[in-house]
Amino acid sequence: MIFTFLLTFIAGTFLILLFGKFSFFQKKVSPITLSIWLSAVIYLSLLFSSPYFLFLLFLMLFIIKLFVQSHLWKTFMKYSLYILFFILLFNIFLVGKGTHVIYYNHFIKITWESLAFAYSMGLRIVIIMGAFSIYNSNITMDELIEILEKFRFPQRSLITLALSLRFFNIMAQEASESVEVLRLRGVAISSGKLKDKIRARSPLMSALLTNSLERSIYIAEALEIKGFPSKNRRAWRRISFPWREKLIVSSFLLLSIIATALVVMMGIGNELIVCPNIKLYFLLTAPLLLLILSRREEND
Amino acid sequence: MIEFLNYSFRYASASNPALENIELKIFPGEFVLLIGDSGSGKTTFLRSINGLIPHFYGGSQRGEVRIDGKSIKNFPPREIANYVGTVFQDPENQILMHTVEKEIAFPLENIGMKEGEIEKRVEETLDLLDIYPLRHRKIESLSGGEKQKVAIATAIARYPRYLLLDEPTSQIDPNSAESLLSLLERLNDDLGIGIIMVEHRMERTMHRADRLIVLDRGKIVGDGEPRIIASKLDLDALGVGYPQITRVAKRFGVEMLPLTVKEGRKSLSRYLKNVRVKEERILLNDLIGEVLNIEFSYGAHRVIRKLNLKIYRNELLGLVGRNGTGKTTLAKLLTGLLRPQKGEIRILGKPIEKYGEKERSRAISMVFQNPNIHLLGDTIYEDVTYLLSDKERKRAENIMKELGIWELRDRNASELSGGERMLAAVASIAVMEPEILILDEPTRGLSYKFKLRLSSFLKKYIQRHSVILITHDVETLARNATRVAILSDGRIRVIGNKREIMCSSLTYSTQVNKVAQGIEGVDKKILVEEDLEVIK
Repeated sequence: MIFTFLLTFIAGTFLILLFGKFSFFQKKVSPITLSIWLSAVIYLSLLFSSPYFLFLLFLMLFIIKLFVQSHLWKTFMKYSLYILFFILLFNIFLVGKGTHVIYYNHFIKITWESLAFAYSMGLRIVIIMGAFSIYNSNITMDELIEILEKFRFPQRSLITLALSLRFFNIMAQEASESVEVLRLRGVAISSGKLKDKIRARSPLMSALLTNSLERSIYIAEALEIKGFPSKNRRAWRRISFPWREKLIVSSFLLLSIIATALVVMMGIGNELIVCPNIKLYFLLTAPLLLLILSRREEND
Repeated sequence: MIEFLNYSFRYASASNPALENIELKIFPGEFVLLIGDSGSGKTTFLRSINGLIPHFYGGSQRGEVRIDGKSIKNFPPREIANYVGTVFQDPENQILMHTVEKEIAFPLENIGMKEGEIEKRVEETLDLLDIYPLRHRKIESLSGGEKQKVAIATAIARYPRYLLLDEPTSQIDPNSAESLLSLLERLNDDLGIGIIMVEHRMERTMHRADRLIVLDRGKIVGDGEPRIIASKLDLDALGVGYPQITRVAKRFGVEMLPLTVKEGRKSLSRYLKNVRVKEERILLNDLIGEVLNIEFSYGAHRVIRKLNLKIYRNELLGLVGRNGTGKTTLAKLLTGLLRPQKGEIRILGKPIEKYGEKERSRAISMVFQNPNIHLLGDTIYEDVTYLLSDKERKRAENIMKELGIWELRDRNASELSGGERMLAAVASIAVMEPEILILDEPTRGLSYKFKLRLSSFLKKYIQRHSVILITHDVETLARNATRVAILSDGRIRVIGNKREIMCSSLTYSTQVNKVAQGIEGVDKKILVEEDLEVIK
């Protein structure tokens, strides 16, 4: 049953590769399909607790990563692996719950359950970060706006969202340059107590606010001369969503619903230890595999 | 046709009119250059055409502005956009979308154009401006010049009859500026799009324009063919200046003023034979800064490679080079904002990393390209005197007076022009009197008047300290530099006396030097008009 489900989901993954708007050479995939698939992966990673299921999810993510753009994969994974390491240490040595004891003395108790739980938590982080790295490498902000437009989100809210996201980076850069200016003026910006650091940076707030207000006037001018808002506005959508992709997306959604039902009604996918015979082998090889896969950069 | 019919406008918060009794006609296909000192009403003039006045900015108005016989008052900017495209000074603040093609499509979406038609227009516009390779690029990955071209593409995507440009080259480097201006010339010649442009770079724009309109305190003081207006009016006195070659010709009393180097060769040859460069003695022996074999990379990208440099007291060292060659990175390394991965930087004999923040700000400091990030207080006076003792405040007053911004001391930065903001930013750093003051592109977007003020200040500053000037502005460099260094691929390729480096250079010589190089019997060391000494 479990393996039937997993095989079905893996088959769904390959459907993207075979029938999606995809080219092996141009590394393109339909943003709608990819974003829904990534959302389904994130959802399933939160739904399952079993490290086996989660590891298979990660493998699926990795397969997709090989066929789409993934220039942010290495950066995201670097931070994920640090987090994973600390989660493992923290849970293995400090949680100590469960009945399958691996090691015990007066101070410390390590169990298979705590080990599996630590893996699950860490794997979730890795999967979520991996999904976001693929998302950020492949889907532009304009495409996100187009996807939301496609699903009939209000135009004004979308333009506001697009503007906020576009100018947030500029504001962040200005803030960082202003900190440099304060350093050039002899302000000890990174020494002293937290209170001193906050006080040293206080002039930045009003300056950033003034600059943002000024920029908002320029943006309003630009919107006005570009004819926005307009009753006649008609979005130019480059993203198509043909029936084939609708079918693929529907299959992901259906599988996610089935997975939810299996977890809620039968508890499948939530077991920390499914098959005791393979646990040692899995627990020893999984981290190694994870490390190797997360560092591969064939497509970078 | 655009008509100003006895038009005056005063902003709601102002006591004086921004424009007064303007009466003129601009015909389709004209290339109009609009010049004037800061606050002369240039931007208001453009806003009155694109409808931002009166529909966006409130105030009192007299007379009217018409486009093709229709009064601006009666239709909003979004409709006027069918006749007029506008490009503002800073491309960063006018591009709204995240990718190039979506930005160009945005105004077309707003008029409800069909998808197929939008596709066609985007395609044509990209081809017309020769920016097709940028089509799918993210805006943040573009250079300043590319962003400004995208802004122009967006403005002309609706096929307007006129294109308004407010200092379109002020935020971009000279090569990008040249390419942008050639593009505008092509749009004007080939498509007949009327160009109305506000610009300070006279040497690049004056010869391209059919008509020059000069504004002074809201009034038109000159309107006509550029050469005639340049000979009738004293543009230096009005604060806008001439192309260097025109100024030199005017000084010699040449009747038919040249506007380009080519014209200068014909009209200036006999005059330049009668002059020579004044003698100058430069003695640099007090070493105050030393860069020893430094290297620096951003990730895998090597920016600075085994760079060595010496900085002496009483010199102005010009640092030139293409965009992205590491000039700003070098400045950040010198000031300790970045740390070299190899090598050492010593200021006044002490390694830069050994300085405390306050002590370092007195040894070396820097003014960034963007003056806004320097201006953090409620008033300019607060900005300049931030963290200063009472004794030092007197110095601040003197520096502000020297830079001509003392009168503006109670104003907020947002009320000042770009040039005034830059001078305030310079004052805010110079007031700490660092031994080495670094200025990163301080003259970008500055009018002639402000450039002169800055030059005069720098000349005084180097009497006691040193200045490193990172710039593409060869005229300012020629006027002020002691030595010039050319940076390329993270290395200093050449360094020496400004005349050794700039005279006969293909890239870094001034207009008048280019003329001198082509004439037999003329002193080839001439760089600026201040150099000249009459010998006959």
